[in-house]
Amino acid sequence: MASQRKVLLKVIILGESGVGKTSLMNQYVNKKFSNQYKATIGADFLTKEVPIDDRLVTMQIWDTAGQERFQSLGVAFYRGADCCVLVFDVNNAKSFETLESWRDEFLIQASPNNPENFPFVVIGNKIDMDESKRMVSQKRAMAWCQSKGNIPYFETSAKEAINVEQAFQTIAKNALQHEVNVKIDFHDPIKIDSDTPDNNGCAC
Amino acid sequence: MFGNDLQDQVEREKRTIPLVVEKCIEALDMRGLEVEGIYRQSGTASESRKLVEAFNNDHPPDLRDPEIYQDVCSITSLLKLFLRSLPEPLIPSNLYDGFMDAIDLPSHEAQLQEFSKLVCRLPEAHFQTMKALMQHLDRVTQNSRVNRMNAKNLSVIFGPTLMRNPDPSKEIVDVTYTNLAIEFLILHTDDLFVAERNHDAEYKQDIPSEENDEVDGGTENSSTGEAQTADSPT
Repeated sequence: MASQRKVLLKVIILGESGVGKTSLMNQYVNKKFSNQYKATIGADFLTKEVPIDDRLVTMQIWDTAGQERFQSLGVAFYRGADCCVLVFDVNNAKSFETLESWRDEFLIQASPNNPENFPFVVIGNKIDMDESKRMVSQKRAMAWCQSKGNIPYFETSAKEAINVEQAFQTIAKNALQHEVNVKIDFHDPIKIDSDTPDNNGCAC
Repeated sequence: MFGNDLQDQVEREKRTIPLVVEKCIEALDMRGLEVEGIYRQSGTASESRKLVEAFNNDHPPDLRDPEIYQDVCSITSLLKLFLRSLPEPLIPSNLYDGFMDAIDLPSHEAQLQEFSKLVCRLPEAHFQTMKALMQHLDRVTQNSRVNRMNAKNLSVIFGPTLMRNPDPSKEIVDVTYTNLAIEFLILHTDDLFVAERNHDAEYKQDIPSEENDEVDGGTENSSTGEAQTADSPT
């Protein structure tokens, strides 16, 4: 057990401006919600240690700016991602309709080995708002997720901490599964410093 | 029209600022000031594309009519796209370092003075377009209680749109400062973009005069003073 490798999972959150990407991350990591209205600059990340099936993994969650200017953050940013979270606002139809282009953008930039099996999770946020304001039904969102290879779908409220924990649990699990699959072909790393002192060598 | 040099564009149109900028600002002043997240929210991609085509084909539509263009954010996207497509950004690359140094100055007065000088050095088309845009953004911030877009939020959107480090790999490192520079411009629009540009001020700086000689004399003295202080500890 002691020799178990430390695992770092890279999770990227994408979606239109103002859907609540930063708020979801803050609610999950810091258990806080702020009503402050603040556009994200470029990209930012927070980390959280998560227990999954008896092991402790570190999840690095990348929050991104929804601005068009930053939509192409570049290959380096997306590389090595273990899970991609697509967020929309259930009260904003346009934010749902652009999920497809966010997904495409991610697949182009990150170019994962196995794009059909790459783990995505979709979050419909802001369910605390009045039902009369709702523009995207659960049925419609689920139908889209199914058509894209059964992407898990969660409806959340970052404001009232509804379902956020559950969504990120799934994100962490799926990310870990992906990480294990990717690394499975790798052999043990070469050890440079041996535990047993080398007595045969020349001391000079 | 998109992707043309700004100076060429206004000369061809025989206007002080490009038509597309004027039309967008006019429509947004009318329809956008109370929209939450104005400029932050992006428009409908298909509608923005249609708008670009219409302007490129010299058939500018009436952006004020909500029946034709329902999504106000498509208009903000159009304006942002136009500004981003300029081969030379609205703050030209030769003034980039100047603005970056100016925002780093320690006192507010020094910042204001340096910004005024830099604004005067903008090429005519850039100055006029910048003035119109900043005055409009100032009106947006005046409604920030409703639209939630204060100068800081607007600067996040307009920082990378209006100024670009000539070295793109440095862009993300500079972003805090570019945003601060744009925020400063929005907050001090009235001071920086006066009714008529003070060309004289800029002109005088380049002409050595007796007065300047005296100033030089003063500088010389102070530099001697500095040298002395530098020497004294040894």
